[in-house]
Amino acid sequence: MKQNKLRRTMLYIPGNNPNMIQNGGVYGADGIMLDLEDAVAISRKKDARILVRNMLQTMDFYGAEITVRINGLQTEFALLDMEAIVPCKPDALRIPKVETMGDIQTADQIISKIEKKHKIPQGTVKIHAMVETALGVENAFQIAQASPRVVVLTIGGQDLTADMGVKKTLNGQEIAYARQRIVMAAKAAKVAALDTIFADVDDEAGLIKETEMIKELGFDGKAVINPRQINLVHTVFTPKAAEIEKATRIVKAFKKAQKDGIGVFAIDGKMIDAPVVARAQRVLDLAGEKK
Amino acid sequence: MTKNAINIEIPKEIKGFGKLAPFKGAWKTIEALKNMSKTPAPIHAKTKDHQKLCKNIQTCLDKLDLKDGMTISFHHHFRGGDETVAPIIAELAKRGLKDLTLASSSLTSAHECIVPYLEKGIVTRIWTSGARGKLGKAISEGKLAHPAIFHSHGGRARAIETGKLKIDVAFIAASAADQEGNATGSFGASACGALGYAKMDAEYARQVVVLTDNLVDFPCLPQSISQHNVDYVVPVKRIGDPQKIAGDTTRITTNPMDLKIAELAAKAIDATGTIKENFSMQTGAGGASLAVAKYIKEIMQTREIKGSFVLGGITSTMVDLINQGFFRAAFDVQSFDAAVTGSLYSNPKHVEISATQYANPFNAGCMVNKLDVVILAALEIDTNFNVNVLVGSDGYIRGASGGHSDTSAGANLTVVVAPSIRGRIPIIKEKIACVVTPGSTVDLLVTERGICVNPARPDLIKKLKHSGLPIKNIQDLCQEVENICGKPKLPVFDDKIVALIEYRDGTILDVIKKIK
Amino acid sequence: MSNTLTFAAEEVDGELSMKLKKTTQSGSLESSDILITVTPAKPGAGRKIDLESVVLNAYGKSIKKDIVEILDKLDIKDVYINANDRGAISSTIKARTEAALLKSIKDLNI
Repeated sequence: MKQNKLRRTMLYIPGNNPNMIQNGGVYGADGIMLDLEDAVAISRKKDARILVRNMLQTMDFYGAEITVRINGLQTEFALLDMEAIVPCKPDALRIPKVETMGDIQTADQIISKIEKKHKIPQGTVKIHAMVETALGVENAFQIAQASPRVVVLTIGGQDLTADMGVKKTLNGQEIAYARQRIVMAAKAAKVAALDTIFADVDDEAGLIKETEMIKELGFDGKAVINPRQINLVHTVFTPKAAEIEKATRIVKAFKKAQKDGIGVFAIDGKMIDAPVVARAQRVLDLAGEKK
Repeated sequence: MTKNAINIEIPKEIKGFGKLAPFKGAWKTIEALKNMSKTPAPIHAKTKDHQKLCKNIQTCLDKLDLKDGMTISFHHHFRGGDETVAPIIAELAKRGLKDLTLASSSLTSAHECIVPYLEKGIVTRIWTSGARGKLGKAISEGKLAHPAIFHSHGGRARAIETGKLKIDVAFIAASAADQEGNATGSFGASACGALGYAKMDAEYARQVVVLTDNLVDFPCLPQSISQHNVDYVVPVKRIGDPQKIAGDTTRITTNPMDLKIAELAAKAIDATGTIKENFSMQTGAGGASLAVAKYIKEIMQTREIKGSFVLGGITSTMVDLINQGFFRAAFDVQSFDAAVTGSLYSNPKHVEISATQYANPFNAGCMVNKLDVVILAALEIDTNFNVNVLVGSDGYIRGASGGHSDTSAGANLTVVVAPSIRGRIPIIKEKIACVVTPGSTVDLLVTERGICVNPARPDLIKKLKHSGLPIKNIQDLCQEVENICGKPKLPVFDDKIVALIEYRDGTILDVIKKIK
Repeated sequence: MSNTLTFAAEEVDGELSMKLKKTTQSGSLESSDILITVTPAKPGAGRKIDLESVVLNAYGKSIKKDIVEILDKLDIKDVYINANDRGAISSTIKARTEAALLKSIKDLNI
């Protein structure tokens, strides 16, 4: 049930910073992303790759989903990154600047080869596909369903606005279409949709507002760049008491109906069907995850 | 040698100090006390024409009864900004005095310059809450003739009241004083806030000198120190630098690790049911300990809870809490931030208290006994919850006992907050360098990697078990951290005892040995 | 996850000769990191490791052991290493040593 995994927050951690990596798991983010790409200077790519590899082999990240953002497939670093990281079996690789279905297929083939060489079951290492160009946005659905490894589709706001030749603004009007397109593609492909970062760490109100907005759009969570942002995002995604109460009643009634062999039932005079039960279960999943 | 109640070997006697009473348990000595009296306070009788005002420190010292082997006392309200201890000892040394006992309520980074006086035998005994830097190193290396005594703030008040610590001359630095010796730290260019420790010395020292850089018209109000105890008043250029009191320790941190620990601590405290109407609290000055106040405030706000009082070293954060109505009063023995002196001067809810009122276990009602919760830091903690706040992981003295063991014993809930790792060294160990606070008085350890409950508190275990918080067995957390860091090689000590750690009741909790 | 250090195939396989070519560095002086500087030494000179550390007494021996472990794995016999440690854990020490050595061997940053 890959879609049911909680992905409210994905904490970016620079791949060449041992202090931040060794403490990365303690902040309670649903996922952490060790970054070999933009957070690492060209002259430090090898240092970061080896460091992240060693840390993955020895550190406990307390159950967070572990992803490593490798360098873009078109760069000379990508293959080396994958060869070093895939054998450490992170939950997923985040592939940046994915533009076409072919990009995902290429990554898939390389991962498969490395898995085979290291006797890792095929499909162990998943893919988070990061869309951050106009072409990528237009190909979003194809990208999302290009391989069964893809479990997350995510948008990179900074690079996307650069590619579009516009400025990233606080209300994000310029990437509104891209966000909706990403969410729809993710839903269609039945993968999770993650939103881009909110850059101003001190603007707590701004982060909450943006998180509320992307939650309404249908995103499952958001990348964060500072541990201080984690709780704020989790709070937005955590269901309120009334929602939880109603969801509990629905799931309870559903279980009873199942036991009694009844297919369809009603609560408060409203008919409850499978999608309603699924949504109620999702509310309970989110509510149960109070770290 | 005898083993004390926490299984530490204590010598029966120390030459030049006398017999030692081993620690028996946090309340055992107090339970057994009877028919004990306070030591008589000296008579300072003066004729009506006695002139207290001296021209300078030299003329004052000329008038004082000074002798070899005497005890001189100071207070450490200026912390790192103290400018009184060093010049006075230098003057006494110039006069050829030797074998002095230095009894400062604590010693800080400002006192590294007294090391040569230890080496020359001018200062041969030290009573203090703490020592740092080169001074801590010198004591650890055995440069003081007799073992130093490390006491808690409450313990010092007790030692003075019982006559165990007899002071010949007390030097009290005040940011405002009149010519009769009425004095305060609450206003003036060098305002340092409360004078809680100095109040003790003024009551019991044989001779009392007030030093001030701000001589005001009679009467100086408020009378933190009262004229009836003061022999001489000395105007000086400067008594200290109030900017150096706080360092960077009294504003809420933005360090995500400290904030994470603080958030977990606040949630754990809440899960115990402590945050309720009229509760009281004390927090430490810096890092995670102070940041807990931010999260507790948020909980109080959400549930519309009003607390009773905050206690201790008072910071701007605590003053904000009383001003915003979250607590009804702040009891201040030592202001941790020069910024709070205005509040101490003008806000009737901000009350200056003495060290005995704060934490002396031998009186009928010290404030620490009224605490619902205290949040404290630690240098090290062992798997029996014993805490070291005095000796660094390298084996050198670099900290202070402070009110740690006093508040731990007094509070209903004692929470120690610390990062699990400092510079690769695990905070939790099987064996720590020394014990300042016995584990029987510590209830929770909160680190970023998990929360440990003292097994002696099954009631807390029950309350926290289903809180959703990361509760771990302390042995397991110790192992988990060691797996990350590797096992550190522990410092190696000689057999020579360089310091005694006195529990607040005067019994000996531990000894510190000379570093090899 | 396994505790054994497994090298990525690409890094050490093939026709690589394990000869140090130039002075290289990896790491930093940030907290929890270590700055490793590798300088080639003449054949027969042996290994010389100079270590400075904020936790020298507690971990000095173990830091040197970690560095030597990587020298053994890469079969480096003659080298001068300067290590300035700021409390790095074992995984970091090994990573920095390996990266500095590989950069010196391959003369490349990638």
